Amino acid sequence: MTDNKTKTTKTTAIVLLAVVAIASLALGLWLSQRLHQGPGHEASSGPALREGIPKGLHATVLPHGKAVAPFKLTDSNGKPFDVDRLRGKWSFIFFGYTNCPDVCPLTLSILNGVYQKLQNTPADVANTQVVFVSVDPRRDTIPELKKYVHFFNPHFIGATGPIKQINDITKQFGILYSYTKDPKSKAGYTVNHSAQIILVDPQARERAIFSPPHKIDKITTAFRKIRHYYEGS
Amino acid sequence: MKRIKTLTGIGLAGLLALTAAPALAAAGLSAHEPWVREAPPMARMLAGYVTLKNATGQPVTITGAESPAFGAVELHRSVIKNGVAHMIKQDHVTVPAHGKFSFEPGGYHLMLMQPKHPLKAGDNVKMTLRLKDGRTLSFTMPVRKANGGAMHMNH
Repeated sequence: MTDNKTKTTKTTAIVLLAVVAIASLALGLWLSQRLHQGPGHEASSGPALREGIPKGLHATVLPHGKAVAPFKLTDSNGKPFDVDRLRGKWSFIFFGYTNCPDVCPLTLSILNGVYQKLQNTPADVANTQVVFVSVDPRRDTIPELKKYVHFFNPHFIGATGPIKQINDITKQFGILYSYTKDPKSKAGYTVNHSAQIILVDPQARERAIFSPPHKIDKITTAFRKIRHYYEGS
Repeated sequence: MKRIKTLTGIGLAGLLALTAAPALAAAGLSAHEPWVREAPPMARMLAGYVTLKNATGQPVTITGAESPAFGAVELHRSVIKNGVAHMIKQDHVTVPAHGKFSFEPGGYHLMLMQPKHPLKAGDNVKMTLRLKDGRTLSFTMPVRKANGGAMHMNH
């Protein structure tokens, strides 16, 4: 009988869970519908950006953006790099490390390709910055970071800081990283890291996420659409 | 512009110095479009890419590589799992019978460590792959600037 009772309890629990799941789903759908419904009220001050999301993009767009919380890094010129440096500019942010021979150079050269394409239309490259955040501060000194990013494009900015301060920026963007060491490899430790490119809008709000595999054309097209959409141009 | 080098064997590899090895032609495995990604001058790690074609009816297993331009060369693979990039050392890679195997950006690559001199686009690097059966395959890899891997990543 105890068995039956347990069974009943379990069934009830499952039914309850299902109800909760369906309710959350419905709420989520209702919310996303609301978010997609044209202009709402812009609460923040400053030049207002349009609401909603542009369609048909190779990017995940956050309809209202997500305000970037304070963080404090040092840039490749030794100057503070904080949330204020994101204001007034569209920022592409990528996370990696300079001892990364494949994914990081590939992504940075793709971002350079994007930057070069944007240079064909000066309005699109104006107030656009590319930031490479090193999550390997133990090996990546500021002077080395500068040489590294400038190799890809002299306009690119490198930034890093103590682990705790790096975490202030990675956590809010959902960027993961960890260190691993294969005793059979002579590579020392390697760094596993999220390969997404984060786009922050000029009001310092996380606005879009580009997921790998990255392609120059897809990022360029999506960025242009996003920028034109929100700036209403 | 395909560079096709034939597979050369050094049957008694353990006994012979590499330079003295007789070039025993062992047809079947060839290297195509090898290149090294030009890296920043301070880079301690570079990556090399090549497509291997196996014309024989037997799979060919590569167990390692070496180059006079680097302190060490390893076979590695970049894998993106749940959005996170990992780099994993490979003990070996296999070129299937009558098939090909590509080292390419964002996937398998020759990890080139401790460059002896900074390399620039236009330089050439000698590379030797070690095969499981003791043979080797040598070829030259030009250093190239990669712009978004455009030449290899796009269709």
